[in-house]
Amino acid sequence: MRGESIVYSMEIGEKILEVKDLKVWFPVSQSFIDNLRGKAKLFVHAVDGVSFEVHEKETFCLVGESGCGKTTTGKAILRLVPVTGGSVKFKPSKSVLKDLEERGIEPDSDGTVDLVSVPLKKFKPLRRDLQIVYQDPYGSMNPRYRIRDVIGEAIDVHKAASTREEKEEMIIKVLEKVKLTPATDFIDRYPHQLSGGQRQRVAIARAIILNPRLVIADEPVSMLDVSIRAEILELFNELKKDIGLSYIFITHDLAVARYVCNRIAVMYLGKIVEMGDAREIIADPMHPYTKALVAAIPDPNPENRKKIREVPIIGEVPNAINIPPGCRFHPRCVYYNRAAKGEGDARLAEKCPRDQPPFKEVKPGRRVACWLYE
Amino acid sequence: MRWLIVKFINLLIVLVAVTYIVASITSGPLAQIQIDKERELLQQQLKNLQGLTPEEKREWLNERLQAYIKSNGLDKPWYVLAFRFTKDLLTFKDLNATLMTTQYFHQGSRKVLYIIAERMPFSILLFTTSSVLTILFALPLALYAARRPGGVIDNTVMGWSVFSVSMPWWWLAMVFIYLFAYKWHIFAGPAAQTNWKDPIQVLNRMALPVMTVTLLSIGDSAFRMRNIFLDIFNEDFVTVARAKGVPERDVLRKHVLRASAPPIVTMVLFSIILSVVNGAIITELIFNWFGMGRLYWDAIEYNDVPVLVELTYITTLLYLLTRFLLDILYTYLDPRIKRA
Amino acid sequence: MVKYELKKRIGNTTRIILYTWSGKIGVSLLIIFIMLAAVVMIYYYPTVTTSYGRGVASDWIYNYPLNAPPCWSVHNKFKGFIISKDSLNTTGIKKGVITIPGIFGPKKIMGYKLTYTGRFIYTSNAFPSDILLVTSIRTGVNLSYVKLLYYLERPDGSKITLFNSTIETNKLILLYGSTGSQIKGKINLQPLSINSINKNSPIYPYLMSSLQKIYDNKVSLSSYKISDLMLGTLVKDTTGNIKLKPMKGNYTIYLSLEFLLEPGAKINIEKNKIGLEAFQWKFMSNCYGLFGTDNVGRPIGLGLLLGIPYAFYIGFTVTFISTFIGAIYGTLAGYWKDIKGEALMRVADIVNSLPFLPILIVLSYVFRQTINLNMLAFLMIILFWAGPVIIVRSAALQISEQLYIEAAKASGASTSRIILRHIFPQILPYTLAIAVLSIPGIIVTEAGLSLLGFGDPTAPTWGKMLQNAYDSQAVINGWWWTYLFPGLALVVFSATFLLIGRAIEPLVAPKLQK
Repeated sequence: MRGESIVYSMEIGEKILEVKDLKVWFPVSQSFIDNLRGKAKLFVHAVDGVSFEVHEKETFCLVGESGCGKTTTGKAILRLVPVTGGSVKFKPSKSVLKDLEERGIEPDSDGTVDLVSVPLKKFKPLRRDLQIVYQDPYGSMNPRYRIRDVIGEAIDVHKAASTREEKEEMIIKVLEKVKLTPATDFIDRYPHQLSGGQRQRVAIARAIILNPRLVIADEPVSMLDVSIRAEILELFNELKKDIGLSYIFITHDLAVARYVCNRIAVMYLGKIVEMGDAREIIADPMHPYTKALVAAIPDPNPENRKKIREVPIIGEVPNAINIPPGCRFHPRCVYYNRAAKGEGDARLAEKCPRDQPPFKEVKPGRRVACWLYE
Repeated sequence: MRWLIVKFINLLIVLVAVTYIVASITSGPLAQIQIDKERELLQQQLKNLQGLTPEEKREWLNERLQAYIKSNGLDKPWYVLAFRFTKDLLTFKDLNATLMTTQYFHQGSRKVLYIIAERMPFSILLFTTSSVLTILFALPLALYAARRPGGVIDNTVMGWSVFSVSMPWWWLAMVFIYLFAYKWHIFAGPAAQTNWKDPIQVLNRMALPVMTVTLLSIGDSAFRMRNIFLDIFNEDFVTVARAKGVPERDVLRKHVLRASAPPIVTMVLFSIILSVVNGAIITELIFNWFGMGRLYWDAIEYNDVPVLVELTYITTLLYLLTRFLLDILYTYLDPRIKRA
Repeated sequence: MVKYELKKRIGNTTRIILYTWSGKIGVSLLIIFIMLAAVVMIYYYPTVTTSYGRGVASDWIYNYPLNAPPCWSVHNKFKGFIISKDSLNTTGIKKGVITIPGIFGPKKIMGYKLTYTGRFIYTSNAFPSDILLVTSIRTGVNLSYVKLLYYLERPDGSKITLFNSTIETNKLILLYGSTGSQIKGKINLQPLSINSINKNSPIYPYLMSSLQKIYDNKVSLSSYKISDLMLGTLVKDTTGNIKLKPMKGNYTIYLSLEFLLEPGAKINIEKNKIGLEAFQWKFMSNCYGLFGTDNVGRPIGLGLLLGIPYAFYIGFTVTFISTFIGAIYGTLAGYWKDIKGEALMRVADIVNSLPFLPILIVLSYVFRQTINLNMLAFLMIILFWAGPVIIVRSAALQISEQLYIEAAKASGASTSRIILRHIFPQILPYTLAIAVLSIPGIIVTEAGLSLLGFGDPTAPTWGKMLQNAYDSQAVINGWWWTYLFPGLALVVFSATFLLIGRAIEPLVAPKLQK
């Protein structure tokens, strides 16, 4: 593999987030009459039993095609979408814990809180610890707000500053942290007066203003010009080092993932199909879907430019209402298709469309859900 | 089917709500009317009783009256009374007018439903005639205006629509009556003696109101039709048809008119029922037209609460029913809306 | 910096509004209306407005002609004139022979006599709209027999007697001024309108009998105005119809007092002020100003002016309050995507499908005893608030789907904060356009309710003026100016907002047009 990873090797700390069997099903709107008739309710299985953990100072990546449920997973952790099932154990910072206790929420013995079971009305303190950076730096800021108001909203909401001067100071500090200098130049501008990269820096500033523990970065660079992607990714890494953040980094682009991730989870149709160390997965993908993704990474080697690359995948993503039975990837899987034609492993032809593959640890720190590794 | 049921349920809810509101506002007077009637009856009976001192007579009357009020629940608070009156209205239970009577049919009947029924044809006659005329005039006008946006016709239509919306209809009616009936003596004025059973006389009386209503509704209708046409002229299929060399006449007839029929028909019919419900009252009053609108006025003049209440109920019912039917018509006309 | 931005935004908006022709006309009309409303509030509020609104004839008929058409529409104009006490010729008190009634017929004895004569030349082809009389006579003490003769001599020598009888002594006689009230010892005389003369008036029998004599049953007196009969003569026109035309020429007003002194008394003119104290004949013009007057003498032009603040008041209160309520309601309905929002929409649906005029009529019928402008506004707000809900809701729905709303939620912002700080400010421009566009409807509705008699009894709104015209059967009587101008004022006023609304409509919400 070419291109150096800029992931800083660092001590990975204790576990701060543990997602277990997270499910987000959206009901499909049905006619009133059908409901009366007692017709079975239909659901979009956006996230269908996802489990992973995130450690302190770790960048955990969720990778997959659009529509695979990676963004929904991120939003479900923040409770921005209704969660259907599962648990999300999170270890809040001390001050947040205190606020939660004031609101009558007792943490578990290990100091974690199940985010799913916290009532939304009492969720507010946790938002200090959990933040999000959106993909779209244009849409995620109120066009009528100045940068001051965009960043300051969280301060106001959580009453983090007692005076106007203090608030101003906080904003300027955080703008400097995301390298929007001189900060006083930017503070009174409107989002539309900034470039995409600058806007994304503002979005990051908004996320880190209250010193969160975990930031969910939802494809933060995919809408930016290629030229400034690296800078923003660099900024993410620097901030991790400086203030000890953890990230759940959502991306569809393995090339980006290679730059920033410590660990990767590859998602397909609401489930994780492969999870493990970032470099290992990119160097040696095991799941057929991961293989296809890795094969699709543009090759920077000019010698290969005339080679027609073969991406080992068939067809398109099925819709998430009618999920294929068995392994949900099997209709697109080259191994299965080969087997079904009687050319490969006959066992697969039978098993894949029938049974869901277990999410098995095939190597230390490496889990794959595929019958190939039975 | 589903939307049809939802709409129908909606209609019922609105109908009940409106009736209840009207009944609760007028429950006091309505109850008083019942009590007064009973008192009259009792006083009649009292005349036949003999050998009672005036004192005893008064006591006798009061006792019976109180008993009547109790047994009929007329001493209940207004919101309970309103429930009862709502039920009466919804089930078309016979209400009797206090003073008014029918004038032409069921000679001298006190039944409110008869009083309303006798007027209804006149309202319908007046407003359907003007609606048909409105469409006949507004459609070519709108088509012409839409074909030359910014032209003289277009600007006239726009200007007239501004004025017709910002003008009380009945004001223009007053001006027209003065000019056409009293100054130039062209049409019969509102004070003319009319036998409402004689079609010729009715037609003569109709000329002025029809003219006024038509002229005014042309403004708004033509303006809205123009906007619909303008949108359709800009659609690709019209451009394609023209590019194919389809003659302009056929473009208009086969493409534009067909495509614009559903919104135009609904818009026109809807604005008409709106004008009937809201505009008729004053228009009919000004023209002294023997319709439901003037009945409102007559009921107020006679202080006849039962007529007022039942009339409001019937108007609401008609209005909601027409709206409901229009919804069905629209989906029938527009193939793009699924009738699933 | 903030101020600068705001200025720029307002400047831009104004420029765009003024760019269209409808905006130009609308804004200039609005400015004119605001200025006129200010004039009314400064100079006429509240005394003139209330007296105009009440429309009591005695407040107006002494200064304005009744039912006078606008002067520009009248071919034969009659310009009013006044014969005052100063223009009378007087002989002073003279001793001479006077005739008094006696048991055996009239008796001539020596007495005193005082005469006043006033002359005027009538040249107009038109009649005055009315003649207003003031005559008060002081008889003083020590007089024993006082006789008053009062008549108008016409050019042809015929006389119209107004009074010919003895009167009480030792008193101030307010003969023909109707109800005079005494203020600080000075008499405030209200003139007597000849055309609305009461049968109980002392001059009525004299007047009628002399008119009868002059016209000799050739016409029915009751079909003409008394003032016309006093100055008129019957003329055959070219078609052979008999018509009443003014009699041109010299007229003389004659007033004489004959009296005796009590035995032993001496006359002291200086001290007793015997004779005419107040006198005026006011011939009212047959047209008035640019707009005419109505059936109680109120000038229509003044009414048009006085109606402006009320039009603003009713239009603005109802539209802005109901649109504000509708905007908040619609925002909530759009923000709550669950059953709550659905329920809100159902309620708005119900309110929207109420047939509003019938309900308004029933409501105002029930409250007709206590109705006033504020209550009318309140009733209209109750029925109109749901108007903008559907448009606002769809806008709110669209905004609440925006990513920055979710971002605000992720920051921990509460529902109220999101609605008030993020959604509502964006809804506001939409609402402004809706509000401006619904002003005409409100004003027209108010006028309609006024016509039905549910207007504020003291507020001189244009609707009230139209109602007055309708009630006085102005259409049949041919008093077109009493309803033409108030209606036009209404049209221009509503059109102002319609024009402005059409100008800002594409500015604030390009999708609102459909």
